[in-house]
Amino acid sequence: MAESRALKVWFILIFLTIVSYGFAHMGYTGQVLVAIVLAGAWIKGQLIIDYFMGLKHVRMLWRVIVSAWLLIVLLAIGGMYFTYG
Amino acid sequence: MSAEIPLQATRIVVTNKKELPGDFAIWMFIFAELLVFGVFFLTYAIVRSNNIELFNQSQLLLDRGLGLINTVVLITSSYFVVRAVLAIQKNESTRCVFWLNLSIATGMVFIFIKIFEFYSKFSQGINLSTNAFYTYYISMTFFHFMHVILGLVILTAVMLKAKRGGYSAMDHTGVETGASYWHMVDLVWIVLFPLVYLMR
Repeated sequence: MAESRALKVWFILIFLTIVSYGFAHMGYTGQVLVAIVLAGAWIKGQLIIDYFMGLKHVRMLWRVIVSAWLLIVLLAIGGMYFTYG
Repeated sequence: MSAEIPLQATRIVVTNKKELPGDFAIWMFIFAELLVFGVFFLTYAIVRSNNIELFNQSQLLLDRGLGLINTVVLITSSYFVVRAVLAIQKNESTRCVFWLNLSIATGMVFIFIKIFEFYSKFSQGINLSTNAFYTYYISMTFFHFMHVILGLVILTAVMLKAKRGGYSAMDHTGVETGASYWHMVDLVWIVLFPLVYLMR
């Protein structure tokens, strides 16, 4: 990965972190906040997996294991929040 | 009947897919750690579903701003580690050490902020037995905190070896191993931060 791409990924990660924080700080709660924050966490997590951990170009199995962990954990958390509030 | 395998039946599969970066053993450790943190996160969500008001009220006492700063700090530290790996891949040991030092320094900032947060909560009389929210908040963040410390120990060992010229473009598995562990610590925080500090 080139230095410029690493910097772009860093910028997106920081931007999404501030967006998530901003929505919570503005007083958003419930399903809207949960959906925004979890979507942000998913994008950020996948960027870290692909570009920081460098799993984008390794054997599919390894990338799938870590990506599936992220998706399953976030979906399960989202499911609990959407079901019970 | 001959047991020989005909030459035509043998085939070499050529692939450009790389193996995992760093030592394979660290990845087994990373997978196990992810599993443990995953269970922690899910039990937090389950316990919260039975105590929603308690969790929402208790969460208001957390300092979200410090959580935000620590997230930025950890992501930035992870970026510095990426730069360290890129540097050693180009055989630039001095630059690799420079980026590793930056990542260790930012990791230390995370540690200091977290200690301040823990101190602040403990001085308010909040501890593990205050309520279910704080049991999870303290357990999960302290468990993660210990991983940050271990990550810093690993990065420091890697940095010291790099400083002695122990890595090169041809041999830098150790740098990738330390980097992989540090990114795992970052990945876990990416889920932990919104779960504990933001979602309500």
